[in-house]
Amino acid sequence: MDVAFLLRILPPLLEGLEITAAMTALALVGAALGGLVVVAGRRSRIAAVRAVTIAFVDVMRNTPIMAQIFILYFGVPEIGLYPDAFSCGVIALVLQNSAYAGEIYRAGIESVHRTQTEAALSLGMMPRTALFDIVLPQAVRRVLPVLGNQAVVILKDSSIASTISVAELTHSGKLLLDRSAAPYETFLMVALLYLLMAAIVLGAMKLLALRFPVRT
Amino acid sequence: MTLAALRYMGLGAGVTVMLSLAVILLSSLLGMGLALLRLYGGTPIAAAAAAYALIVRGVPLLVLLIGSYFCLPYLGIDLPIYTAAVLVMGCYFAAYMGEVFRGAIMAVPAMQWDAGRSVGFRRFQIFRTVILPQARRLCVAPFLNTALSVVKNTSLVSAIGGWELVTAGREVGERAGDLMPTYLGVALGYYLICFPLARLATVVERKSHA
Repeated sequence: MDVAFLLRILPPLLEGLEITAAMTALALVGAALGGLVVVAGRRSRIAAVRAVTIAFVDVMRNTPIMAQIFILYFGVPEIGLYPDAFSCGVIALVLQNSAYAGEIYRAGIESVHRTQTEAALSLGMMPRTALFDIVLPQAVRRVLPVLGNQAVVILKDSSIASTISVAELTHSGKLLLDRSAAPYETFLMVALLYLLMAAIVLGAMKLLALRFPVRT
Repeated sequence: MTLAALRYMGLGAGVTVMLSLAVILLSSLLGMGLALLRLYGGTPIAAAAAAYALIVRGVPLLVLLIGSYFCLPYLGIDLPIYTAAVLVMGCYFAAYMGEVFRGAIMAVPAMQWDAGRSVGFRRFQIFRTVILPQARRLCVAPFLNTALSVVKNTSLVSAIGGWELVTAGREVGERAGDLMPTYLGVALGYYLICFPLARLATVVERKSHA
């Protein structure tokens, strides 16, 4: 193990880390919002919307992100659109994780007891107000830890974008592994950087959970 | 897509299934070990097992696969690609399986231990005849979900040169010069493998709530 070498490979890896962080942040926001669309779709009054949403969740749950990234990056150009690799990665991450986030939200909403809605309605609240002011605040607090885990999944899955040559952390690591004869150092450094980012994401979620505790 | 291409991708799907089964088996065994160590291993060992789970779950599988692909030969270990892939994925998913089993065992009410003790059972007897059968029922749905995640993640083996469904699709598509239908076919292949697992998990979950 060569410590000087570890420091020397840090700058190129940090360049990759920036892209990983950008992808993760974009995908996180996209999936958090996409999850809302999914959960709204599943609760829709229109049967067709419900069916489409269920089918979407089903397909996303049962196909790997690798296949989605390849369809976007290699398949979509055949119909005349040319999304760049970075966008393909982000879109695939958002699609897949919207489905999961939607299911997480739904579980949260269902975990809030029915009597809460009934109580709100009996006080004369509109159903919408009951959902947004009574049910959702409780649901979101309950699912925060699960959402944190999903955020780490997004961070880790962003590494798959390296297979379509997005210059993110795993890709920079692979280039270094190809070029240098120091696989342990490079591997260790990449793994450490991911761990650090995962720790930051989980830590942020812990802080959020402390700020918004579950009240019983 | 021709019949030959379809058969070729079917072979790829077969490899994906075999890989998944091997990984599920290995990770279940290791995961059970991890869960037991964390629950009954004593403080230092439990802490080590917890640290292992935390570290593994913070690093992408792809990084571990690529890392082992480059590092193992330097250590003088020259494993066939599938063996290496199964080992790495087995150790990776052991962390997740460990959580599944630990969660299930902890979800059995502590009173069950007291009840076992009150009829004169030993600790191991209580675990084997009282706790484990109940935990087994509780862990089925999360186990299936983790198994589903294993199937999907075997696609990463294609990134280190393993031949499976994704690779088969790429070869067929590149030869035909038309990648969209084959990658859609690949996605469909995974869907066909995963859907029964997902369906089963939902049914089991619904049953356990009722």
